[in-house]
Amino acid sequence: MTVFNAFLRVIRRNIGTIILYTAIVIIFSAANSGSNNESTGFTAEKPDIMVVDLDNDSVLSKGFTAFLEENAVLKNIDGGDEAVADALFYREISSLITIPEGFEKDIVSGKTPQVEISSPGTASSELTKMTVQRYLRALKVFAEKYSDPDVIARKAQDALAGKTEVSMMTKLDTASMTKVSSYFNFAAYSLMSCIMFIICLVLSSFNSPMVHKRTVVSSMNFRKYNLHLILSCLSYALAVWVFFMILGRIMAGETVFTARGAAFIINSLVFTACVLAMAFFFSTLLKEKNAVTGIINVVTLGCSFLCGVFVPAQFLPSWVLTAAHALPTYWYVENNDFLAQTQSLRGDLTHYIIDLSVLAGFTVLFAAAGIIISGIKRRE
Amino acid sequence: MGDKVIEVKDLVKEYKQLRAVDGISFDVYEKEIFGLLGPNGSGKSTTINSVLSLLKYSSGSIKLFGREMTPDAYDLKRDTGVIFQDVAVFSELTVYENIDYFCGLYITGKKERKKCVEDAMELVGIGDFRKFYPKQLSGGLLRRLNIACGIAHKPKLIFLDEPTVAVDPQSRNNILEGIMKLRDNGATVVYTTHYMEEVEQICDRIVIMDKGKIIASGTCDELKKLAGTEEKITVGLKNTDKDPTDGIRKLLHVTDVFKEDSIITVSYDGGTHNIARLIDHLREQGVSYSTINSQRPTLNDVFLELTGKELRD
Ligand SMILES: Nc1ncnc2c1ncn2[C@@H]1O[C@H](COP(=O)(O)OP(=O)(O)O)[C@@H](O)[C@H]1O
Ligand SMILES: [Mg+2]
Repeated sequence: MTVFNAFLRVIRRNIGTIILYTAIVIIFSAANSGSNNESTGFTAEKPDIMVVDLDNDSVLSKGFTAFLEENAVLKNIDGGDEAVADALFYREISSLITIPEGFEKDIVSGKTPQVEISSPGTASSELTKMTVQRYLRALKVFAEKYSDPDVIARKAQDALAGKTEVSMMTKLDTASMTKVSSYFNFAAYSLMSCIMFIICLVLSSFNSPMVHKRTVVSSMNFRKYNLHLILSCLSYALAVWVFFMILGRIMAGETVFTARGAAFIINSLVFTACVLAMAFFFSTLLKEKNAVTGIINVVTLGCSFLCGVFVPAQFLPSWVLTAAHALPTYWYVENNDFLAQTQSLRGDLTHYIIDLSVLAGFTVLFAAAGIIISGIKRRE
Repeated sequence: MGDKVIEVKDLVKEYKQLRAVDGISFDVYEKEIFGLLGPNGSGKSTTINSVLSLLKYSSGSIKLFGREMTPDAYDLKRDTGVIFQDVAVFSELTVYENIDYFCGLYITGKKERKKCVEDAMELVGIGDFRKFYPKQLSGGLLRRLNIACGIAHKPKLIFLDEPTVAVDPQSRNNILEGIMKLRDNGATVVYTTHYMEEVEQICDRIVIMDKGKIIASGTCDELKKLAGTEEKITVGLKNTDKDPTDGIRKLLHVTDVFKEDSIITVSYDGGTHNIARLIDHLREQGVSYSTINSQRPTLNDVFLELTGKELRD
């Protein structure tokens, strides 16, 4: 308890640092969720679209058109290709959907028909694309079970309207997922800072040559002492993690405590373990408190910028992202972004597991490097 | 003399090129202040660190309380306290918390520890500063805190490695008095320094080291006999018309007379009232003088006699 108490006291003297980084994550994710609400507004409006059915009003193409009608306003532009192109250009319609010839035959025989979507690339046309893909996927699923186009069309219609018990995919609330993932991404910076700064500062006190000498001559069993020190670091990191999870519930809403939220939480726990290993590694290199402040700042800020914590990864130049593969933070952020987008987590579990494994690998790597370096130093 | 608390036999510590400690042996007895005196680099710290098992020594044997000292001899360490030359405290902890922490490495009981910490603060006189952080303390107070951290668990054997380097005279006296108090309370003290005055002031027995070897040992009085002189009298002449050196040389107990410009230095190998006899002689001869001083030999003279160089750096 002696070691743990002193550990807590030293942390308490550094409480300002913790408050600072907590404030940063609150401000960042609050600012971000504000801009998010705005951009989700358009979903309420139905886009104007035009559907061209080249499959001669087959059962499935009619069903498809009916489904689209529910989700958009169907318009008809007379006057040939040119008039349609003008309508797209002037945004009279946001997309033109062409159902190809042989659409029904392809679906029934298990092939994927090419549904052409022409659009000027506006936000509402993206929505249409997603709607189309959802429907096509539903058709495919039921085409595997049934062969009667009537049944397939009805089942798909029911499933997408939420009338049946059959749940083929997790319905993704994109807006709230973006909120969650951006909170978890910002939390990367705060987790790194709170854990690495504090642990390196505290360990630099405990490992200062003179205090170390005094510990070695004392009657405290040195192994026990080291164990206490490790357990103290571990419980501190865990406490910081729990704190940021609770803060996440407050900042990002209830979604944090759902099944998908759990995937985010596990990802951040593995990341916390990795950060702890990094903290241990750097503490073996940095003895001076000034060096700790300088180097850890560079490390946390560097990792955050290069790996898409502050600036979303899609806005970073590709060479930066390639280089960032060498940093654990990249894999954590990548996994968050993946979780925010994927329609079906169960289907893509490998992706999630791979990212987690890479993080775990980094954890082992940093811990091993730290142990080796401290071993070398002790022999000196 | 009491029981042997430390027995060091033929201790050798070699660094790559250098024999920092070169086959030394000594014993320390219960309830004495044992001084390890020597110039910088003579091997004092190396000796202490070897005795504490902080360093792996090359050969020799070390026993504490009659048992071999090893890095995992935790029960021996329980009865030992160490104060190093450099201050070793947490800058994030207060005076009280620092003493409490280091004491806690030895004593787990909360109540017992609280009393120990209070006693230690009182012993070094730092109680008024219990809520201060190390940064807020003067150099002298910091040293006292450093000492309190090392002795709070009431060890029977205490090592102090140059605790007074760069300390103001008041704090130094406070520290030396504290050490004597510890001895009077029943502790055995091993004290290293390169200040001979301190050793003369507090040590019961002394070992003088140079270049990793023990060159002399004994009580202060025993060592001073080695200086070859018992008393030195210096006379500052008013004028140098007459040279009285030949007359002085014939006086009782005089071993040597040395004149440089207007200063005459007379060495004696014993006797009493030497200064009175010299004054009488000078008056008879009609030699007038402006100053006259008598000096007992110091450990510096002993060191000079044995090594041909000054102890002071
Ligand atoms: N780690 C070391 N490596 C090499 N030489 C050392 C080391 N530590 C001390 N020495 C040398 O050993 C000698 C004795 O040093 P030390 O015991 O510190 O002397 P003291 O404490 O009497 O001033 C010195 O010459 C010093 O340079
Ligand atoms: Mg020394």
